[in-house]
Amino acid sequence: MMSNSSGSLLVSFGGHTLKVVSDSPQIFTAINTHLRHCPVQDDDLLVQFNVTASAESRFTVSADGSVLFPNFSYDLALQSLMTELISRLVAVCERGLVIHAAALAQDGNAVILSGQGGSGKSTLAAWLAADGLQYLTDEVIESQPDGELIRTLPRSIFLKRGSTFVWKDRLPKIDSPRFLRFNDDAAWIDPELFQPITPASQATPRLLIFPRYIADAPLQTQKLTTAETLFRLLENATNARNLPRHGMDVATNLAQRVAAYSLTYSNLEEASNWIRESLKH
Amino acid sequence: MNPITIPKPVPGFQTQTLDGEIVLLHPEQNTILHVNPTGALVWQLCNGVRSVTEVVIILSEAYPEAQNEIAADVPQIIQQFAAHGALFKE
Repeated sequence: MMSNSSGSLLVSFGGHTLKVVSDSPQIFTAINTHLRHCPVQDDDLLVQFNVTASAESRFTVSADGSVLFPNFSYDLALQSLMTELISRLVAVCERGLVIHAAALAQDGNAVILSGQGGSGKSTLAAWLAADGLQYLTDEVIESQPDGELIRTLPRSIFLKRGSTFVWKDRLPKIDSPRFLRFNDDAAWIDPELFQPITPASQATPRLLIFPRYIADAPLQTQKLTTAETLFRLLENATNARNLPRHGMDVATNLAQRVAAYSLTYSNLEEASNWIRESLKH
Repeated sequence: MNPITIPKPVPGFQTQTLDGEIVLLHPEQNTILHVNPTGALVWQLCNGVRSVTEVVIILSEAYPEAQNEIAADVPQIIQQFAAHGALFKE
């Protein structure tokens, strides 16, 4: 991410870059803070978002001059903008296979937590960051065609209302602009608040987990075959239509290079311990 | 299932074989299937020319110790492929 004093910043992912311009210091500070770990590449500019504020503290978001979100509240404008910019970057990515996943690393080796919304990947990612893993993303990874590298979009961790216990339990200090709490108790949290480890935007994939939270369930793991892994990766792929063979070859390369497991859990500490131990091997 | 039925692969599936298992992907139908090794054998034999009976015979000759299971399982597997939009039945 790159910004300047006039209220604009650049964010890159998947071979494209977009720009966000805001005349609202409040919005700009939030976006600037929570995208500050994202890289900027020398890519073509995909789209420019503009955020304008009205006197009534309402915000309008437009993309290349077309209004997307008119007269939104602060919370809704921020969350809609974040969702939109990720969607735009993912939709046009043709360089690698983009997969819904959180990811963290230890010594450059990544664990990928892949699943759709509600699978608990952000909650687990926050817990693992608090336990000392280096944060990579809680939303999307881009697997390079040979499967030997993943690139990520390391925005801040987004925890929904149901995961407030994570920051209540694990954050030593929340009085910071890097902890942005919304009215519905969702929050954007700079991963460096959990542990002072600078997030990264790429790593070598080693371990692939498909997590599933079930209340009161004991920790259960099952090793997946390469074909089962491929199947699940394709289920969580977001830009497959942009790639040859609908991303089958890229997903296969990734599936062949990682140890993959399904993981059912209810206790985050148990799940974190198992993941961190598995990542060492 | 009628034993003279000729199962035909639905066009447009991308396939990937890995250690005897198969993943089938049909982008337009938005269908992704994971097929175990037994199902993979059946899929590979369903070429739009062979009947269900012919598939059973080929597999029974290859695995004579499992003839009874093959006779029972093959029609069910073909039925499942059809239910998931991967095979037509003629």
